[in-house]
Amino acid sequence: MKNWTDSLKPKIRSMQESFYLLARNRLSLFALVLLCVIVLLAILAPWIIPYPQDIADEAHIADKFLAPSAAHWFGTDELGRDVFSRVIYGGRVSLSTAILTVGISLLIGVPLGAVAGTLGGHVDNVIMRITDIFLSFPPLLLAISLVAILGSSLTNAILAIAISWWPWYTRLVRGQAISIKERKFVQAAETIGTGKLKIIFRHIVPNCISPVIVQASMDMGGVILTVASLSFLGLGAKAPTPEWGLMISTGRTYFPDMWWCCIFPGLAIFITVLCFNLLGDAAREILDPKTRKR
Amino acid sequence: MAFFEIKNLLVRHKSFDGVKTVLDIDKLTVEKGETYGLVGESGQGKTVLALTILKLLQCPPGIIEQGEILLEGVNLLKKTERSMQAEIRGKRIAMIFQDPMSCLNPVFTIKDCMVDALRQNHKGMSRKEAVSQAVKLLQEVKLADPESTLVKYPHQLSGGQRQRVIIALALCCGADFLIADEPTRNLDVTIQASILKLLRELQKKHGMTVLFIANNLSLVGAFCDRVGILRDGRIVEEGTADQVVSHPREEYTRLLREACETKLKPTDDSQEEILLRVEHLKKYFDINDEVRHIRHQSLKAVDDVSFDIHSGEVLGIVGESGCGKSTLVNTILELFEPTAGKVYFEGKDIFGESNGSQGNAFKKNVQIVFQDPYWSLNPRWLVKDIVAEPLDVYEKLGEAERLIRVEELLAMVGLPGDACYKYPHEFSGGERQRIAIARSLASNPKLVVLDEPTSSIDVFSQNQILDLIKELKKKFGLTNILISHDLAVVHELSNRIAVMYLGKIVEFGPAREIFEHPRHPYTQALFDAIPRVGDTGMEGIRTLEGQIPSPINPPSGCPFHTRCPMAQDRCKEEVPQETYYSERHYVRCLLAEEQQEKGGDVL
Amino acid sequence: MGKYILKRLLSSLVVLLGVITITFVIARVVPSDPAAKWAGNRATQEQLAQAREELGLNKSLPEQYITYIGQLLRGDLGKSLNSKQPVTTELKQYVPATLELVLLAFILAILIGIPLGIYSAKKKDRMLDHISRFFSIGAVSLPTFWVALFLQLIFYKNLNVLPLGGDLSVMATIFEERPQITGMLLFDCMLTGKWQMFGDAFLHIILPCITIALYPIGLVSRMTRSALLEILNEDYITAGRSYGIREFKMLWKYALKNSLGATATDVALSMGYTLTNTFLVEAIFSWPGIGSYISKAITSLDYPAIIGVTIFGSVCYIILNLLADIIIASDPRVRL
Repeated sequence: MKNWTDSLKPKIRSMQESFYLLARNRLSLFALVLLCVIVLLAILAPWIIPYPQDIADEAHIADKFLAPSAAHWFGTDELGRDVFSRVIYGGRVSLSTAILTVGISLLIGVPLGAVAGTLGGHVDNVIMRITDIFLSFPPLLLAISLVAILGSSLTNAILAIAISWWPWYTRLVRGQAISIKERKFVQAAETIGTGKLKIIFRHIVPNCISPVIVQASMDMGGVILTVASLSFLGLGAKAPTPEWGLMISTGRTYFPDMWWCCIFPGLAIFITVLCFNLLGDAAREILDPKTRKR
Repeated sequence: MAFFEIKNLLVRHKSFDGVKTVLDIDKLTVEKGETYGLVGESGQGKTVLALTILKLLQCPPGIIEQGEILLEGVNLLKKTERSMQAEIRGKRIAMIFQDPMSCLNPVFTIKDCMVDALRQNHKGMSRKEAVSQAVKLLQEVKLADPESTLVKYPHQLSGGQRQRVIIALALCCGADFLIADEPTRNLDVTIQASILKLLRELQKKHGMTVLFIANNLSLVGAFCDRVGILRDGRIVEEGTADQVVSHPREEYTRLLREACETKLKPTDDSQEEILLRVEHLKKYFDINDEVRHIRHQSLKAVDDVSFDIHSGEVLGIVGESGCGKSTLVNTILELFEPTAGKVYFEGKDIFGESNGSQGNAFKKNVQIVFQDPYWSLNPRWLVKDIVAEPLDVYEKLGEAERLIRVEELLAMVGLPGDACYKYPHEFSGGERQRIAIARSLASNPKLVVLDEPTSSIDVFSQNQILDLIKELKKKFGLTNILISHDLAVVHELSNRIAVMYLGKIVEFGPAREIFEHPRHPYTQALFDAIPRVGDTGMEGIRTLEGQIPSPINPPSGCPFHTRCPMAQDRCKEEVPQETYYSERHYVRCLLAEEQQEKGGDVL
Repeated sequence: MGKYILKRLLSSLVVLLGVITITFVIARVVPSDPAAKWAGNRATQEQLAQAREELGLNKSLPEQYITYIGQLLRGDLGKSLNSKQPVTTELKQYVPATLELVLLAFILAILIGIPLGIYSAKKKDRMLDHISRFFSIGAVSLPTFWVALFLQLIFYKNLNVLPLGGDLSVMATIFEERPQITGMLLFDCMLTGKWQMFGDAFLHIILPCITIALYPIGLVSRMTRSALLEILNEDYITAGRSYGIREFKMLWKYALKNSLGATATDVALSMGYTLTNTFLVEAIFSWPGIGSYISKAITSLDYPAIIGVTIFGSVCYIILNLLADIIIASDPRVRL
């Protein structure tokens, strides 16, 4: 057990240092705190929202289109559902789809990039040509046509976005792998006789993970935006799921008179994505060796 | 009033580890026309000082706490950014930076840079005048073809040429105080000497005052009038060059001095048994650069090299950067595919076998210790995993047993057992190099390659590492290949020496013989380019003219003829063969061939 | 240089072929019955059979693939289910309006984004930097379609200074004929000298243009800032300062030229984003471009139209990236 705690100590120290660097910028610190709150709200959503039944298809026609008030902070929608409850619960939907999408993209993109960068030659050529092809679709367009053919649903949206997203990681990791491959510890491992697979996954991948983390944190925001966009176009979540993009899309019909149906879900998207982007920015600065240099 | 003076300067640096003092200088004075040398290793605050003088230090993280920097009585630290730019930088104080590769803007031609700098500092100068002035300055720094150099981009010039351009840029401004921050650090020794001679000449001609910053005591001793030793931001010793170099008072200065000295090496304990035999090894890299219209050419990094290593000996390989010494060992270690030739280890052809058990046995028996222990250890691994990496490949051990072995190995290199659970960045350079050595010993190898093992660690650790290498070598009966540009290190460890130039071995023989009587003109030049400890003045330094030719298109005949002071016409055509002085000492030089034919002995 | 461009052109063609292959897979291989998708939901048996015939579904996949490429080479993207018109014809009709919008937004993105990035880098960690960073990060965090609605709420409903949507008000078309030269309304008005109509059209393009430009502005300024910061840390900038070169010149001449390569790539990428954003907001502003076209196609599941727009958008994007790479290649460092 002692060994285990021993090996943990340097990691904690490095985390403390990261936190010190992060806290130098108050804006990033604020983003971190806010994001923690958002995540917490998303996790606890079913237990804390004021009208838990409103996340489903339940209608209270009598209460429809109530303007924001003490009882309904964000007002009510066309079926009389509490917009505040739905917005909070929507965080759960958005965050989990974002995590899934980024996770799938990482699982495809990172190993491919590491293999391409490390092995080089024909393997690299083939992988990178495929990557180039996927990157030649304008953002969102590939996802749109994929979901259109597959049929619109949240699952298909996740799949479609992941399919158009992984090449970014492949490209990023490949670039990193190429520079790390030149480091002497990789050459040392080769002279020792360590196997190729172990070199790729134990030496190279852990060392190119920092920029991937930065990218992934920014992409969380990007994916939330993309999912909302697809839902807005009618290609993502289906009613009555309280998905932010879908809520705006539905509310659009009654816009601008019943503005609260659109404005609050949009604000929720904005704040969440903003936090991810601020943190990603801060992370990039922290992980940059130039900043870290003592 | 002194020309330049620093009083009570205190500069700090703020980071996660708290506020650290980087510079703490009570008093430093430079008189007009003087050359003041500031010596210290990297990380001692030399560059920070140079940047502080010009007010170019980044704040934060830097903090200038207090002090005065006086140029003819005017405090520079009190000046505004605007007046620094308009009156001081360039016009009074110019700077030469240490890395000629990175301090020329890559997207502008030399002309663009020089014309801008000239017109900035000479009001009303027309473009045309500026260009002709630039040509004059390039002539002054002895660039062979100023007009054609002007229209080139920095990447089209060699390191030595770039450093000359940078000196010319510093001259552009007409400053009378020059700060030279390790101007020769990344240059080859033979180029280094000629740059220093140039600087000395220009200083005399323009009556400049020079603050010369370097890490090599013998260099500063020869070049400067007065010397200060910088350690941890403080000047620990100061005096005339002769005083400081010949009679150092401080322990630190003594070590710096020792690092430049060549010591007599131990006896030859090699055996007759041949461990490794290299036969006609070639490694060419294909160059296919469409944009530069270079196609199907090859860079001859290693060109027909043969030698033997006997069990228990240390073979030193010496040469300037780009001579192919690293490529040679990397090819032997199978990091590169050889173009041609054979390597036998214990009589077995290592390239012949496919990557079967044979290849593995070779890898187990041959290990390498790299130059920079920072990059040779995976920063994300714990030390126990780093040291155990060879164990994991060759011996499948249980966790407990593995840990015991790692602790043994660490103890062998003088590190405590609790180092296991730390990351490499928690150690100093010297300690990291010990970890690298421990790893190289884990598979019980017979041959360990040492690639510049001490050149990136501080002087305190250098000697200890060298002692450790000697001790381990005796204990395990190791055979070593030692690559180094540092002749002192080679001299201390090697039994035999191979001198390489442009991918070829030009001289090969017992270390003692070569050090006492270098035969090849290149070997001689290499030895003469470095001032000996205690030399004052630049007279003792001999320089080689010209640039190192490109290995893509090496000169015909003897590859050294373009720079050889003794070259004759036939050197351009005939390829020299080995001329033996004794059974184990040969050179490749036509003059030596001639001498031997005539029955003479020495060149 | 010429050789490099040729090589780059060839690789673009390979990529194009790949893109076409992927759309082929999406359209013909992924769906279990492509004809059903192609003929629409309310198709009769005959229509289905006809679609099967048209798509060549009775042939093997490789044969279908070759026919598919042949059709694309002839510019045949199939027929739209909604209008029964060839998709190519319809695209021709809708593209100019989108092009006008995208170009304007793009110019806006460069004119605002690059200077913002430069000054942000210059004044790093000062107030101006904080504000501009917050603005640019905010800009890339906003859902575009929501911004569109928000702007409508303020400028149409509350302030009532700008029109809700469309590219021209009904009033404007009563007195004057709509000019038809390039299809780009503002441009056509200028050519024909219809300045009153130009003014009206200009008011209409403001909101969609700002909405679409917001994301690229943020992207370009962030990328410019980080590229510049890296360059401003380089030794040659410190060296330049030590020769007494003026800061203004350092920034605009020295550092900017170095960041050109990085900026060109980002500008191409941001062009991709402006294109994407049009898909999301044109419908909201009732802008008669391909964005509205694809929105309609999505609601009515008009697959030929969707695939057609995808291919068209990708071709544009590939050409843009090609241009960006050629700009980068003019950087002397590439010749290293």
